[in-house]
Amino acid sequence: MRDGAHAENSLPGASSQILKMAHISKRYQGVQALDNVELNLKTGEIHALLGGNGAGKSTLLKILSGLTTPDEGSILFQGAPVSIDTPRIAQELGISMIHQELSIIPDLSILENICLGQDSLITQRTKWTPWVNRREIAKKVRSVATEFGITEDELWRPAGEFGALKKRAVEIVRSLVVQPKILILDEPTSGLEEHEKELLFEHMRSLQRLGVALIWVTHHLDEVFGLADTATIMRDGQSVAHTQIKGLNLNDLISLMFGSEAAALIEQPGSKKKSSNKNSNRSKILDVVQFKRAGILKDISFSLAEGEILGIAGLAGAGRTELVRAIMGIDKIDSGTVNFFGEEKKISHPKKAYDLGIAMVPEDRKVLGILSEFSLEKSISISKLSSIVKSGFLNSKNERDLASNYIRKLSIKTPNSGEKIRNLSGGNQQKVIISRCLNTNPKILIFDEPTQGIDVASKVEVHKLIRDLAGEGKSVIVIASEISELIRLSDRIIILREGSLVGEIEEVPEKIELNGYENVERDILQKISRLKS
Amino acid sequence: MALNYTKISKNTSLQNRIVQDPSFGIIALLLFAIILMTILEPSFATSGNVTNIVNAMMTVSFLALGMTIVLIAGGLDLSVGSTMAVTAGVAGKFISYGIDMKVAFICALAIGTGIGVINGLLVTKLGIPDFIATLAMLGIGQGVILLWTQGVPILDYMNETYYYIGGLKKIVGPISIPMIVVVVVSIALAIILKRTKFGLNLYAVGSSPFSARNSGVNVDLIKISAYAISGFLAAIAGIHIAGRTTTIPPLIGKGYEISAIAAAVIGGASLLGGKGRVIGALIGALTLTLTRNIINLVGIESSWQAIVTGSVLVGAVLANRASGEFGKKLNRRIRT
Repeated sequence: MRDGAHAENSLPGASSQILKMAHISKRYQGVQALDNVELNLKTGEIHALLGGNGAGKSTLLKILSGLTTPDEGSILFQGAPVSIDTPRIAQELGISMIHQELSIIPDLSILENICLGQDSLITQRTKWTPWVNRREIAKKVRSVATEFGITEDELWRPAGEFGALKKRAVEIVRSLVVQPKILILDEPTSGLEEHEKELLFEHMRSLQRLGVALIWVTHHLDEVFGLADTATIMRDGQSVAHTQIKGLNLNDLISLMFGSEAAALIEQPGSKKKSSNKNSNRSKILDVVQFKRAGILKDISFSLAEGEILGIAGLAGAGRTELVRAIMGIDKIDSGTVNFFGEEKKISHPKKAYDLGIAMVPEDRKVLGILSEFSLEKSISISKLSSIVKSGFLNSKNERDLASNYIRKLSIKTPNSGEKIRNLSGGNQQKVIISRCLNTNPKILIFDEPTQGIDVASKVEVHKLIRDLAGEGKSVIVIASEISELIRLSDRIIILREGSLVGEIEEVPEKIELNGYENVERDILQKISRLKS
Repeated sequence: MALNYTKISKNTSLQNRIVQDPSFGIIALLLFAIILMTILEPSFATSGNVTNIVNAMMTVSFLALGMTIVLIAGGLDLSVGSTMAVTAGVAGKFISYGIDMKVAFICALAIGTGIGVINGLLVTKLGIPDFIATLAMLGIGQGVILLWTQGVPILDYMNETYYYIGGLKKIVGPISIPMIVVVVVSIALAIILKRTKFGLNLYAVGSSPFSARNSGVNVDLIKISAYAISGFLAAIAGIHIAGRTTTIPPLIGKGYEISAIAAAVIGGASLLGGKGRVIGALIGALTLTLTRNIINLVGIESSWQAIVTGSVLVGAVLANRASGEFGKKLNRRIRT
């Protein structure tokens, strides 16, 4: 469904066509990141930009938002050729972007984050005024901010005090208050709860009605339907299709993105996972007894059996991450004990957790997980350097062998084992972190948002990996905001709300078979979000 | 900026605002030391000694203010002491050559600012780490002034006006010209930091250059400007110290970069960038000057001076952090 010819027909300067990127190519150190890419955008449309990790979406968006320049190609903005050399030029044209990684400055207040660099917001009379009148700005942004749940009081507090959720809201407000002509949303829903996603989608629709053109990057293909009008699909640095969304289904999109073979492998939301063995007669491996931490964890107890996948459901702020961090000994708790194989253990430091055989793949990979300057092989060996020691010294051959082993086992895509981890795609970075955990030979693996920001194909691989690990007898704890992901993975789900354990669903696969997927999901959603009465 | 938070939360009382101030701990410490010294040491609260303290504090204040700006922007400027020496030399030598005083001062300020701009260009455009670039500039500056003076102190430039500029003569009562200049510069910087786009951008660049760039901030320009301000203020310090000491030994600026960093950090600036404030720099400068003065008065052996000063630095930073924690705790209690 290539419609390059169709785009050519529309007159330059025709009111509907706001952006036309043609023949865009970009090389990075010998790697062809973009090869002859086309992107056409009309005012008031929601345009999905789809593709796997490494397909070149980010590079294309960087070019559009002035963070980098193309080697070849032309950009027509409202019919006139433009060269977008700096973010400022993009901003002046009316192109704003919400980045996938939060670009919030923790030391600045939320208000200051909103107005940072937004001259049209700061400026009252002339363009060159040096003054910032925060109260004026607060008046201007208040209504939009309130819509996204930022209160008047919160505007004045440092952004660093808030969680990922609020920070995302700040970014959204920041890009909305300047009334952009083109708004780029790179994975805007990552880290958002279901009802907040709906809110965001509503805002996208109202922006669309105002005539703003939206470019929307998402890995959640099911979100695309009913919202996006058109899509550009990228694969291996090329734009392989320009298409209407209407009339397509999920499989069509997946085959366009990854080829038709891949589509067959990818599970639909709600599809039944293979029934796992009964857990009842398995031996308990971990007992968490009455974990308490003031204001965060309220008397939480649960246990984990060998070979079991335990899901933890809850909204952001319910205490999911804090709970596993407490188990790992990263955060201190006020009271509570951990029994490991029936024996009480004190885990005061993550090192102790690793020694016992508990390993964690943290959330927010970029910040907490990877040592971005480290090579892949160093990243794998770092948690257990003894695994590569030879006669008292670290041995680089052992290190390389270890890495190659995991590269093979987890099919990590990398040019070589010495590659810096930051150069890998999100899915592959995640596999490296999982390798690092596996190398400590853990009995319990904790995954906090294991598929955050990675594409559909990698997600399937990570899920398969988690199941395989459980199949080998390792116990797994999974935290995921996406309920369907949690339901598909888990044998058992515990539900947290405001720091308390409010529910438990045993034998999840059997329940799905018995009651249907939708009922299980509804049950969990109700427990997660029930308001205090 | 944390300071805005404390400023703007209207629902906290003045009393709470004071104890929540990040410099509360260090101010309390200073007051304690001043009261103690006034009681124990008769020569402390004399007008002569107070003049000494204030005058010595002025030099460090200028440098600490500049350093604070650079630290907020996420940089570090080791060249301030040497820039001060070079500009003091320019002012002194030019006047002794018979050049008009105003012209000499303008030249000194231009050279100081120029050194700052070069620092900024080295750091941003050539990508040399700030520590290395400004360390190199420190060495170059020192070398230049040694070559120029052949190691001989500069004399014969003092005149009536310069006694006023150096703070050795007062204009009204205890008020001297350097005091007025410090106050004016501080107010100007405070307004720049709190009320202008440039100030906001400074904090943004220091806190997270990547995010700032994504937001459309010209990161390089902001950093270069920060170093330029630091150089300019080092030149003011140079003009002032030449008058204060009445002779300019070539190594007059030695060690001042450390004092400037220490004062800024005591005042709450962070070497990681994105934090710092004007009042903090002044408090830091006072802390250091007072410590040195007390050591001299009490007659602590000179070999102990460095040790005491170092310990004060560590203590001050800890007091700083403690008052921050204390404020947070208090704040939480108020909120819940």
